[in-house]
Amino acid sequence: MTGLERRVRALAYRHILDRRFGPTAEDLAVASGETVEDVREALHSLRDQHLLAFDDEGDLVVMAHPFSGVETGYRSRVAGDWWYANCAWDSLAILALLGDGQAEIEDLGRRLEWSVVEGQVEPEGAMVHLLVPAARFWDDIGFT
Amino acid sequence: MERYLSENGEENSGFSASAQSFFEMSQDWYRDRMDVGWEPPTASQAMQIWERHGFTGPFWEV
Repeated sequence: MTGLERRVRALAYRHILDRRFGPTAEDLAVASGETVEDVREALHSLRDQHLLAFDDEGDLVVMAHPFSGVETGYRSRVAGDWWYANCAWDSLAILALLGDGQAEIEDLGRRLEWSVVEGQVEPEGAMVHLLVPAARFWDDIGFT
Repeated sequence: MERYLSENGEENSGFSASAQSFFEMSQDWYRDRMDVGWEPPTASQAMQIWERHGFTGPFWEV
């Protein structure tokens, strides 16, 4: 990563932590003091390196793993705040990053809630299943 | 989960592990992820992280 790419990536995470939703290229330009064109170039490079994902227009950061920059059926709550995750794994990963809390999952016609208390996931025995192997995660990251 | 996978013909594909395992692996996998100085792991490093938590086999080969 270039220095700008590092800053853009870190600022994207900061934006999602502060505002729950992903930044646009313009948001990141303002935050970084760089031009929108330079930020878009950095975003494209970060996408090619599989470090961020953005929408079809290439303007909105929709994934900064484990966070989703858009609304999904996966929400993680920590200390009175909450963020969207991309999948069940990411919903747990947000708790791993930020602390004990709850993961609320609405997908496949079902609703689940997991809690993490002092590093222990409840209910005991909860399982996660992944369909796409690791080597192909980024073939279609939205599906993964 | 087993019933869902069976109902959808997915019982023989993919990878399953406890949510606890995924949580613990995530603590390792996502450590320092948001830091400006974070370095993405190489393929070998990624597999070592996953292996530490029992995430092994063809599904986790990159």
